[in-house]
Amino acid sequence: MVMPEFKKFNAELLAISVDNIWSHLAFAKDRKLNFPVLSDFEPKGNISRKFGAYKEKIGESARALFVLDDKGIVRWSHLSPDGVNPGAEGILSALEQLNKPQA
Amino acid sequence: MATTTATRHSRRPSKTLLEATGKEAESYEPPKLVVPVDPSRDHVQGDSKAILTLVEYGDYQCPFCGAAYPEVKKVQKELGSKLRFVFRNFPLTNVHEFAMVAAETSEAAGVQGKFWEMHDFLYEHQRTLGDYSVALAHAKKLGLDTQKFEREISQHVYQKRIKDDFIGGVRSGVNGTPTFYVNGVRHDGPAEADAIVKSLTAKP
Repeated sequence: MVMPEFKKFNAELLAISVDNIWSHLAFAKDRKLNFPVLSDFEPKGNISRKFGAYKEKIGESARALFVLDDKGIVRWSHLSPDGVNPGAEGILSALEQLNKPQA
Repeated sequence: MATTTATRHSRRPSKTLLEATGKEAESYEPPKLVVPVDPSRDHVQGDSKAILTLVEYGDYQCPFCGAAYPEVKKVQKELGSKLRFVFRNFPLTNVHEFAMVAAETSEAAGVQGKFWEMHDFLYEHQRTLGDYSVALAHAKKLGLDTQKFEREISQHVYQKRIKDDFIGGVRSGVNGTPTFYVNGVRHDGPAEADAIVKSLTAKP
């Protein structure tokens, strides 16, 4: 039910991790995900690194959120501790701010 | 409009990940409940003016909420009149096909003064959520006007309220079910009685 909230801002949700597409397919099916899951598998972590969200030691993407504007510019980001699911609150606030008429 | 890559609009301070390669956030603050408890709207169990407040965002079909249900009972027993407990709906409708109708069932009972009776029944009978006749029989047993009860559920009278609960939860940082707020702050620890009591009674 949170997806319609993103759509109100004309925002698309993309997920990314270093797992391969077969793992992604199984995960997406199991969790009934209704958004694309991208695979940062080869070269491993290439995209995550570019976002500063790669954990070299364990070879995984960090639990990070980014809001990009229509030009592909990062307007908001958030890094959550590994054990904590960040929720969607920050994303919605960022989208609201982006959509505010600018002075 | 500024166009630097570092521009952020979060109300909470957060790091720019583009500069901080893979480091943990230095200071982590759990999100806060942005929809204050309103006894005129919320389902509140216990003294509405109690000094401690536990808010749960829950889904009736979620097994973790089912597991947390007796834990909440333990917390209530331990803290007695010091605690008020609030339940808000957070049905994960894309994975739990009966979560919405179960939430509607509890609300339809609630408007006739039997919210907690139905809430408890649903969590104690999670396996039969798909069989509507079970909840209906319980509504009868509770002495509800079942005609009104059935009509309101089939007409989705409470769906807007349930969605409002959900959106309020999202805005407060609900990140799954159950999500608890202890005295207005998200409880990131385990959904177990000891951890919740500790969190509720911790000195700020």
